[in-house]
Amino acid sequence: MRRAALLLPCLLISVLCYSPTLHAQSSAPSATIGFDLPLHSGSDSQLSSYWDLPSGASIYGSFPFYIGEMELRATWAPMRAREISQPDLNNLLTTIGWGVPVQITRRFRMGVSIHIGNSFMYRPEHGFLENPESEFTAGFVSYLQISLTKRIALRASARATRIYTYHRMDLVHGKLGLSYAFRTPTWLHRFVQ
Amino acid sequence: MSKQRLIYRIVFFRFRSVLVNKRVLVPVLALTIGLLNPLYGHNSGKEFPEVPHLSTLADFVSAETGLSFKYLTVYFSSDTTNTSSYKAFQTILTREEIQAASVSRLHELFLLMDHWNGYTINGQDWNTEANGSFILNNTNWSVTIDGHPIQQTLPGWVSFNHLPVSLNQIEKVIITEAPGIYRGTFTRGGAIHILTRKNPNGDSQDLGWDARVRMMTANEINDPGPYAYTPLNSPNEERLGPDIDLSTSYTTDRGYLQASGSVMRHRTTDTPIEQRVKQMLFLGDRQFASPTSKKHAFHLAGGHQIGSGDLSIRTGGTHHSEIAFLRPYGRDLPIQFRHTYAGIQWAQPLTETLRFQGSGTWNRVDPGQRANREGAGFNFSRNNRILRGALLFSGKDRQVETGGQVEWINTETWNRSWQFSQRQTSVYGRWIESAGPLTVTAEAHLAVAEGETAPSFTLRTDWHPTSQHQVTAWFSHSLAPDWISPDYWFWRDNGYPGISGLDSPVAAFPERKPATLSSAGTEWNLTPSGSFQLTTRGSIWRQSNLFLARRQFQIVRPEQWFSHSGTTFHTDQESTRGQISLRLRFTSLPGLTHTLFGSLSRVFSATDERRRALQETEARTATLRTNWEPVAGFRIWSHLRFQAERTWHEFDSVNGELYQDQQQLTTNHYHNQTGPLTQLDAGGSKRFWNDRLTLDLILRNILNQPYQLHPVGVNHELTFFIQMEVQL
Repeated sequence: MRRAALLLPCLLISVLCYSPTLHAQSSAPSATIGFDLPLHSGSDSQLSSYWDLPSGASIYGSFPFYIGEMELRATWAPMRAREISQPDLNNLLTTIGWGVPVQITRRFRMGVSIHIGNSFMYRPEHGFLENPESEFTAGFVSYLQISLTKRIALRASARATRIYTYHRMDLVHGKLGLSYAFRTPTWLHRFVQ
Repeated sequence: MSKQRLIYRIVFFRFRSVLVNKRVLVPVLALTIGLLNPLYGHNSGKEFPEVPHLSTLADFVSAETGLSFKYLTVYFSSDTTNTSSYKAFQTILTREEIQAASVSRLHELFLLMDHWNGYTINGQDWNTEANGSFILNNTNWSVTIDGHPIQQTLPGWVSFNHLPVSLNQIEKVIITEAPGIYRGTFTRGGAIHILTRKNPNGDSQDLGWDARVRMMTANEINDPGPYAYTPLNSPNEERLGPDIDLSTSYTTDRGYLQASGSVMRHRTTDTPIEQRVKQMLFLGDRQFASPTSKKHAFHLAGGHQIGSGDLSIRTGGTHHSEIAFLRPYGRDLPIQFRHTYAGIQWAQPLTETLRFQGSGTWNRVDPGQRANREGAGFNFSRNNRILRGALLFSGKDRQVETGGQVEWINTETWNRSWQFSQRQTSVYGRWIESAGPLTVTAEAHLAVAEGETAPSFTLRTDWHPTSQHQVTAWFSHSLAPDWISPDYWFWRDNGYPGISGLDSPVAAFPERKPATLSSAGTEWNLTPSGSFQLTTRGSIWRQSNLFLARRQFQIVRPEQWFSHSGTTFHTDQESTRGQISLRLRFTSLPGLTHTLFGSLSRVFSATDERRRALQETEARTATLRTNWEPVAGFRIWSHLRFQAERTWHEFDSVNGELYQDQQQLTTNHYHNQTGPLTQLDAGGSKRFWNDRLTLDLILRNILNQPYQLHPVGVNHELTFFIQMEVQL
């Protein structure tokens, strides 16, 4: 995992190199917005000995990006202290990800992606060391999506995120949510291209 | 275009012996596979594709130790590119190259200068050299912005981030890497010329308004995060930015006007050092110095064509507070720095072949260190006024330039307890004669001050035997009296002012002989096509009559103050250094460009103290830069660097041991070391909104290998940058 950050650009380069193959599998040029809620949240043993990750939510938007699609995501992942000597913390993860969706059948779609971003941690209440802190994050996502209607889909995803604090924080989320697909607006298409 | 192909087979690397270290092998293989996948994937088992320029084929062979990359076979078309536009010992960085590499601070331009080497302590200020020439001998190169000379910004140290120009204003950087006369001044290590964009789209003829905003912020990993509330707390790490550049310009067909402002912030210290800075720089009444350095700058420039002449001006100012300044006190003494300047230039054609250039420049630099609790500190200012005039004759096969320059320098402490004024007068001449494929350049420069003269001369030949080859050789000799380095006066007369230890500093300095430098270099450049370039270069530098001062320090607790406890002087020191280098640039698939560079430096001979002061191992450097633009508007790049160990002493080490993280706070030695370094940077940029918005994501020091350069130096850890530029 320590070299995960190195492998990200290499993976990006490698996958992009197979553009003719992947391009045929890429999705139709549609954008998506959605939200999801964690069914399960876990962390490494060190972090979980101090804090619980009880709940949280994500909103995201994705759009076609040459090969595959780009995703912008904001995740609120509060951390509840196990002991009174530690404060509760709010953790806002903002990430940018890139992945390749694959349409398995007309209704089923799956994908894998990588993401990097920032973890913004702050105390919701005043107290000792209340300055917020930001840290680099990187991780992997895989998801399975089932179309409920032409535009609405149910998406189950598993996200593994590493926050690069001195003592690494590894977060794992199993999530379920809804997404809404729409044709990429002309202005967005022009903006990206 | 001719379809005839040449085949070059180049033995590239045998990784088995070099990359036995698993830590190196894994990322290198990962990167190599990543880079070569398109070649392998497209070409494996197929006939070689028809591509317009150059293609590559990776030949993987198995070896006992696993995968070994043995040969790189390079095919390229025979379309030739005349090398007459290429100039030896020169590097040109265009705006496109700078943007493609996602440069986020000015000092990162050095990373694109293959033949330059250097080190940084705090990540902001770099001491650099070209071709292995001068490290540890102050800065021997000069900087101009649109032709206006810019003074060194700190005593003996050029902080590139202090240069009065915004990053998003730069159109081109021309780096000359050999001794010579540049804008009337003889510089022993070359010169860096920064040219700003004069209209919205550079060289195009678009006129009118242009406004741009650039923002950058970055963060090092390894912060304590939530563990700050636990027994697992760790020191804080550095934050860079936000840096903001605002620039605007208005261009007509006869003139232009530019204005720009910059803000740069750099949080340089971790928690323990932050506390120490607060203790040292107690300002009274519960006021403390900030551990965050802040730079504010404003620049104004313009030009107009009047008749057949061209007039240009440039003025501005910079204020930078709480700079973590290394020399000579150690990193931990923030200083504040002001720089104001103004320049005017006039170029007037006199006849079809004769031209006059005149310029006047005024620079004032005010570095100062805040007083500590004991009231000790230093402040001084330096004024430079330069008047220069030159006549240039340009014939068919001959160019002649002659000119003169007068420089008035006034240096004083702010309380005027010490003052030094001087006038330096210099004349120079340059003769360039072309005869067929051969061009000979002779330059001579004579400077006079303090009753002493400093002659310098350079002889250079450029030979183009064919359109694909260029061979260049030069020889240079120069004399460097003390007054060549004005900062020396300050240190000579004041020792380390404000710090106890030198009661009679002036008397303590021995007489010095003028230092001399003899140097020679040669370069062969092969450019068989527009997508392939091979450059080999060698240079040798002989320095004599060098003066070294070795200083001992102790740390005073509880303020953790470096206290000067003695100095030993060494005169008549000398050394001979040499460097060879090879650079290969080629384009494989369209849009995929690689630059491979390697250099080797060696100290051939040196006196004992000189060798001790320059405790370098044989410096070995290898870099691989790759830039790929698979589609217009989207780029990804990587920069892999290997560098052998480089060590040196700023001050005597008390016990001779290397310091480790935070030990500097409690032990009494100061020893610097870089490497052995294996560093990988990578990033990508995407242009949006019809190229009006550019977004960069950058990862530096991906291998997260500490430099061992300074325990809290920037880029000590993996750093994540976000940069955005908007054209309004």
